[in-house]
Amino acid sequence: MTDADEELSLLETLDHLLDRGVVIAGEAVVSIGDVDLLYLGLNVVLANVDAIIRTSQPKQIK
Amino acid sequence: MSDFARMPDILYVYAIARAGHPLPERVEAIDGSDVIDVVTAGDLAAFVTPVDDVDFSQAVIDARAKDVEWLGAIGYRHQSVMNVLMHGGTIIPLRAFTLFASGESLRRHLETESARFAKLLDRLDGKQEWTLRIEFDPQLWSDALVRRVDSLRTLSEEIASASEGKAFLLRKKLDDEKKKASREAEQQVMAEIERAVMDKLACDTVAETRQQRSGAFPQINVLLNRDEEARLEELRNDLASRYAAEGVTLALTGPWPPYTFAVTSDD
Repeated sequence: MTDADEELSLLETLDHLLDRGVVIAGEAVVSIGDVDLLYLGLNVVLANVDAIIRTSQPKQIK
Repeated sequence: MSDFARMPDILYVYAIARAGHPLPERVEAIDGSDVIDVVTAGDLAAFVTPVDDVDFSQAVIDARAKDVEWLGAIGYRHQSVMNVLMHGGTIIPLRAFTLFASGESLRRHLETESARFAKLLDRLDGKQEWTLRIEFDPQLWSDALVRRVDSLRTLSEEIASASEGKAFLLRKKLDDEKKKASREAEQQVMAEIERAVMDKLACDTVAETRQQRSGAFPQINVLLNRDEEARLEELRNDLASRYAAEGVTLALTGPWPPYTFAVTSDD
């Protein structure tokens, strides 16, 4: 696997495991004392990841 | 209290499974340690690593959000644990940075949601998630739009027979109309592909448009029986041939932990 492949593979992974559905950009507020289940927002990063994926060649992960 | 004596006091949760699911061994935990514990409640188990509440606070994570090296390590570790857990049987995978305030709050959550989680585990039994990303070549897709959309085709024909000056203005109009038509046509392609997947594989799908993905290429997530991977790949190849002339390509990736399907209709 080349460095570019590894990078894309990691970005694909991040694209899947970072949450898009629950957190709306900038609106996630965490209160550890009061809230049991906490989703932390990383939408800024997601946008960067997506941008990089768009400019990369598709790759099949098996 | 010294830093040394300070104990981590929140839980990073990877996944929920049935009680008795094997505990991952010899895998790096999310914080770089080798500590992965299980919290059980009734028939359910959650796999966790105790982490420092400052290191995993919203403020610190936001501050490090652009640190690709740090985020990459998180992604690698989260996925590594998930891979080991998936080998042990069915899991409900949780996305990165799912945190609980304490073991007690997590246990309470498992108890409260036990029926929902049991239903989800049944739904995910023997299944894997695959992703079909639909990519559009700008030039080929732009040309294809004219063939797909009646109004664009008409405009294009007008340009062919118009005077030079009028053709110039019409070409500008055509470009504007293409931009407007592109989103709708993209969604049409997505719907066609999703329909083809459902017809061939009779499986659950979740389509995510470019708008839902912050401008990234749209994709269709597919929840597939473990033995149907070859059929999906065959379908991908068929679809790739069908859409190649329009500049549409399909990238198939997986198997992924079924993040997209780790929800019930009640969610």
